Formats: sequence, C-alpha cells, structure tokens
Amino acid sequence: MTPIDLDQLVEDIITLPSLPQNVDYITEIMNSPDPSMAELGKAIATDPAFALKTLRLVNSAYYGLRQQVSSVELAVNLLGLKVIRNLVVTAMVCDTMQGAQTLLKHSVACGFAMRAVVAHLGNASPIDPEEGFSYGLLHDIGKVVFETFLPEETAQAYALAAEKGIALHEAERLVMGADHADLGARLVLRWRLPARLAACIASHHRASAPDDPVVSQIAGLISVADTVALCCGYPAHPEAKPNLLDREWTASRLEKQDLPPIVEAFVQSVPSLEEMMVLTN
Amino acid sequence: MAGLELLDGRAVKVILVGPRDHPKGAMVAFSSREGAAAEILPFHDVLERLSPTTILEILCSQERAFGQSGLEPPELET
Repeated sequence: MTPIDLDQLVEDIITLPSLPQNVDYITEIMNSPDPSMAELGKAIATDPAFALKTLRLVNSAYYGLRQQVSSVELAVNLLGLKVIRNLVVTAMVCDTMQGAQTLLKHSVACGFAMRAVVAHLGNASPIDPEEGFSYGLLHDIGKVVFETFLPEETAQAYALAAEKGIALHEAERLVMGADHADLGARLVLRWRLPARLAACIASHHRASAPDDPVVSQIAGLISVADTVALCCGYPAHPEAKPNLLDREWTASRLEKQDLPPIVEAFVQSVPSLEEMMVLTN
Repeated sequence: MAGLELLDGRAVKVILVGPRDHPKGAMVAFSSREGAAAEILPFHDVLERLSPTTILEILCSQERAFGQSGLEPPELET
C-alpha cells in the first residue's frame, strides 16, 4: 500500500489553473450570513472563462428564462443564491474533472436524481431540492479526483474490489490508505462549502453510522439517488451494479411507493441533464 | 424478461411489456407450484415484496426500453 497525503492532494486541486482564480472569494460570499448578490455577480464576472460557463448554464433550457441573459450580475439576481451556488459548484466540478467523463456524467445525474428525491419528499426532507442537487453532484467528488489524479492506484482499487468482492471504498483504503468519501469531504470543506455537506459525503457509505440523524437520512437519500442514476444508465463505472443496502434504504426514510414518482421526476429532467453535460464541456 | 428473487426468497420472472405509465407495463410471473397455473401480477401490486433496488431496476429498465426520454436501452433477456 502507498498511503497518499489527502491534504496535499486537496491543495493540488485547489491550485489548479482551470479553477476560477477567485474561487475562495466566491464561496466566501456565498457562505456569508447576508450575501451581497451584486458582489457575487462581480466576483464571478472577473473571471471571463468562468463567467462564460456560468452564463451558458444560466441560459440553458432547464432554468427556462424568457430572454437570453448576458450579464452575470443579472443572472445572479434572476436565479437567486441557491441556484447560482449550484451553477458555480457545477462549473467548479466540471473544470476540475475534465479527465473523468463517465464519473462526471454520473455525478451530474446524481445531482438531478437527488433533486427529484428531495422535491418528492417536500417538507419531510431536511434539505431543499437545490441543496439536494449539490449533495448528489458532489457525493462522489473524491472518486472523480482519485480517477483524475491517481489513475493507476484507482485502477488497482477497482481490480482489487472485483477480485475480492469488496466495496470500492474498502479497496481504496487497502490500496491508498484513504477512501473517496474522506477525500471528497476534505475537498468540499476546502472549497468552503457547508459542513453538513462534507459530513454527508464523508458518511455516504456508512449511512447508519453518523450520530446526526439528519446526516444519516441525507446519506441514505444520496444512496437512493445514486441507484436511480445507475439504473437509468449513468454508472460511475462501466461494471457498476445497483446495490442499495438495507441500512441505506432504512436511513432514507422513503417508502417503496415513493420510488415510481421519483423515477418519473428524474426522467423528466433527463433532457436538462444532457444539455448541462454539453454546456459544461 | 429477467429472473429476480423476492424478499421472501421466491424466484420470479419480470416481463417488461410497455411503458411505466401503463398499469400492466411490467408483470411479475411467479413460478407455478405443481399442477397450478403460474401466477402473473402487475409489478405495482407486488412492490412490497420486492427490494428497493429491484423496484428501481424495473422502473428504469421500463423507461429505457419504452420511454421517450432518450436514455440508453438496457440489455434484457428476450
């Protein structure tokens, strides 16, 4: 085993030239108790490539704006902070992970599936649908980072998981001394995204373990969204097989009758998902 | 068509015959006991006897096989 230095890996990602130059400043504004929409718009607009990507997403059919928006400031005001946060995070993720297209598509599909799951739950959900999108999108970000930055070790982990019949995160620990859930949580914290999001990412393979019942439920819901994405043809890996564990299902607090309308809502969003993938490339 | 196992361990075959919104778009065929006719029930009537993973596999396979969303078709036994 070659133990990796997770903190160093996270720093390598943060300093990638493809990420917005002022990503720290952008996330700081988004996380402030009283964020200034004007300031956020200006911060995004100062990075031309990132501003362009944000505008392409804003103008996609999903958001259904009646007219083309050509100003980031206007987009921020029209769509509101939560939607803009998703756009920013999506653009960040896609910029970072250009090398892992299958996983990236799976992650975006999980974002849409999680939005469908959370929207179906309505007031019974501890998070709103836009937050749900971020949770789904980012839950496997550590896996994407491993595949992009440590392809040989990742291939070894996949091979070991297949050979021994163990879960991928267990094989990652054997090969690299850490798993994608730990890495993803650290990266999310370094991006200054919410601590609860990091906690859910860290625990999404051990949904029954967290002390916080909200974290446990969200982690269970992520597992359901993950399975929806996989069953609809957006696997994280070509050999991936659906396997929603009993403890994950129980933690989600969903009923079996909830599944048909969730799939229906996800299917309705597939054209937007495909459009987002094109726009972010 | 695909072979599956119920939560109680019984083996069944799932037959996809139409889109998700059709009440009989997916049917579950229970293996017949000696001398009895095979029991065939609409998928939605046996949800509680299936695992969540199986329910999602059936719903999504139906959509991929018969839906209009453009998802990649599944590999199914015929």
